[in-house]
Amino acid sequence: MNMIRDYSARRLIGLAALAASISFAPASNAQEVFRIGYMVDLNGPTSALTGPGAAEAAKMAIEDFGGSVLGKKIEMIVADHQNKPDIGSAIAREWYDAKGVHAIFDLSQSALALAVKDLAVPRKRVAIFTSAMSSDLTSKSCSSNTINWGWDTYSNTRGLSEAIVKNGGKSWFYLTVDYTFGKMLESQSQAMVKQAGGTVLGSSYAPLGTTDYSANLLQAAARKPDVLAFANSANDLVNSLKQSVEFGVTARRALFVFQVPDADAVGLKSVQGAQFVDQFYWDMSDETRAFTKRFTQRMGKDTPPTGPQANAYGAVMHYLKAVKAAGTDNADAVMKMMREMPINDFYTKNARIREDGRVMRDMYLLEAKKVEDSKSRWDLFKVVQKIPDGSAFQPATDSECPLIKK
Amino acid sequence: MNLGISRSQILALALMVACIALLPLVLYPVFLMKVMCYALFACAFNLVLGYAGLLSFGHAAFFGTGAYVGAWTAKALMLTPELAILCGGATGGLLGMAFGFLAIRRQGLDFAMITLALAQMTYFFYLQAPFTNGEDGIQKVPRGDALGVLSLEPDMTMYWFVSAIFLGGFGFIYRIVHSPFGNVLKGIRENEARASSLGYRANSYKLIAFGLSAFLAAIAGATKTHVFGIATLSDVSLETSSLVLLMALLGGKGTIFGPIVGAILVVSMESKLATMGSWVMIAQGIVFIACVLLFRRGIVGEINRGLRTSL
Repeated sequence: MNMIRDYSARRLIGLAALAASISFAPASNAQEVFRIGYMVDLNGPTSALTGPGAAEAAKMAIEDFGGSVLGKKIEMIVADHQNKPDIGSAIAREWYDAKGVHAIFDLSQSALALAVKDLAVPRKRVAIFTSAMSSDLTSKSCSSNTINWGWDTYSNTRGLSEAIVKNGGKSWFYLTVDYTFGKMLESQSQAMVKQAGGTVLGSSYAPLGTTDYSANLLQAAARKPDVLAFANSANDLVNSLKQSVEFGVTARRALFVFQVPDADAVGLKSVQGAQFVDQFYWDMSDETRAFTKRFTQRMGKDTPPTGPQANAYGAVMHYLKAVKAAGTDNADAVMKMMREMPINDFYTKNARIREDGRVMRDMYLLEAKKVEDSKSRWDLFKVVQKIPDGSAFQPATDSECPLIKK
Repeated sequence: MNLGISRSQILALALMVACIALLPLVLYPVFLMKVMCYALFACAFNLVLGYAGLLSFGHAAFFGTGAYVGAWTAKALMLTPELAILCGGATGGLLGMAFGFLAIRRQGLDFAMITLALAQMTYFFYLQAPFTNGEDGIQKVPRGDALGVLSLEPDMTMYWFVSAIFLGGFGFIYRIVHSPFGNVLKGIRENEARASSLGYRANSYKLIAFGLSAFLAAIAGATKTHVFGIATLSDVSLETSSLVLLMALLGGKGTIFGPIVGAILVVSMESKLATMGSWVMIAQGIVFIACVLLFRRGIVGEINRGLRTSL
């Protein structure tokens, strides 16, 4: 076979380099280390909310715990699920089956969280969700091997709606992103508004990824609601919030999914006075401020940690404590121990885990500060009230989880 | 004109079968199954891009339709996996005929844009349709029992099942490409006016090729759903459409084995680089640029040129 003359060496080198770039690293021996997995969106739309910061917080927990458990060094593998559930679940399978991973943390996407739950249960492994919001995870899709560490759609809608109605925000109008997530937020909030004695004036739907909300906002303004509720998240929320200010909507604004990075992106001017629910705010107490200081130093930038990032620390720490106390990596024993031990860390005080995997923690009704009250770039929110001991979450009597004995 | 199978093709085929048989001993079978599903998808895509010269930018619509219909029929109607996969394939094929009917009236960029628009409509349909559960997707799709008797729950059994589908689909594509139909298709690609003047109805040929390609893409999607037990929006997303284009171009469009090589590369990058954070997209970009600059015909295309083979 003759090589054609212009088939240059350059191409062959390129080809060889390409082939070499796909290397298959052999899995190291699973016996010598205690392995846990951290799967998160490292680059995509939720990476500011969880992402590399959450993985770093998990690492801090391992270091604070002492770096080893059951006589083995703790190793944490981090992977990016790239917001594709099939990539994420393929990685989770490999972690559980081939790499001996005992527990997987975060899984910052509801579809992926549900998929990994179905992998964890038959394999007798643990999965702990620290940012996924679907309330199904602890209701009809609950399991004995999974825990939802933080907020969910229930806490962020019902808790918020109840607090605002009691505070005088009687008539509500919704700006909703037009798919399941938005509709779920909207319907859960509406149920609570009606229950608390408020009225629902109507809703306006916008497709995911809308950039021009003028039609929706004009509709909202025409109804003159006390409260304009934003049943959307991320870019949709940022865009619609900014435009609501430009349109001069004066109604009180209720946000269901809101975090420090969002507030920074929108600018405090557009969001001041808006209320929302979260599990954590960096400036809540001395302990959270101390954690924030350590965290920002390690991350090399001054963005304070978010709720899901705090959860990453809390979940990994409590899991390791339970493994140590149980003296085994057996998932049933560890899960039992995790339920028995109260959760205590820098932002959680004596929280318990319910049978359906819900962490019954305090939640906080937060409010974005007025521009003139904010002293620095990250001085964004203030705590309006504490919603104590899991009362922000779905009561056990309403849960569709078969594990709850009624 | 090579109507028969050439020696180099036999060699490559033997190598591929040997890889399928032996690689699960060293690599994780679920990963290999994923590679095979995407390889079949890329081969199906290549049928229209490489052989009919139509750049479709909406093939995720068929892949995703296969995934959703396959998942729904397996879970809600309790069909056995092979029937569910066929249902997915048939639905995808029908959708493909409908899309093709609208799109093949235009060529080049217009064609690409029409397929893109239709694929986006499909995406929003699945986002809204109640049976897909929106962004949660259809979860916990049972792998079921092949032909009603053989449980596919063990990964290795599933692996042979997927291998059979992949090799079957690949053989089917090979036959299409090397049939008189395939030759007419290539003729149309090279010079449509001339093919028409010879009495071939170019649009009918293109439509059939598009439908077949959609059918096979949907088969690949439905198979992937059975491997992972989930069907989600990412299967119908624009990203999946561009991923399959990347696979076909990287491996070599219009080559038989090229899309498979492309699929291996892209899927490996996605999963092996997942632990490296930001690098997945960057690596994909660099590889794509390197490919365009260094081997414009794709990897297998360049091998073919260098070694005078037709792999």
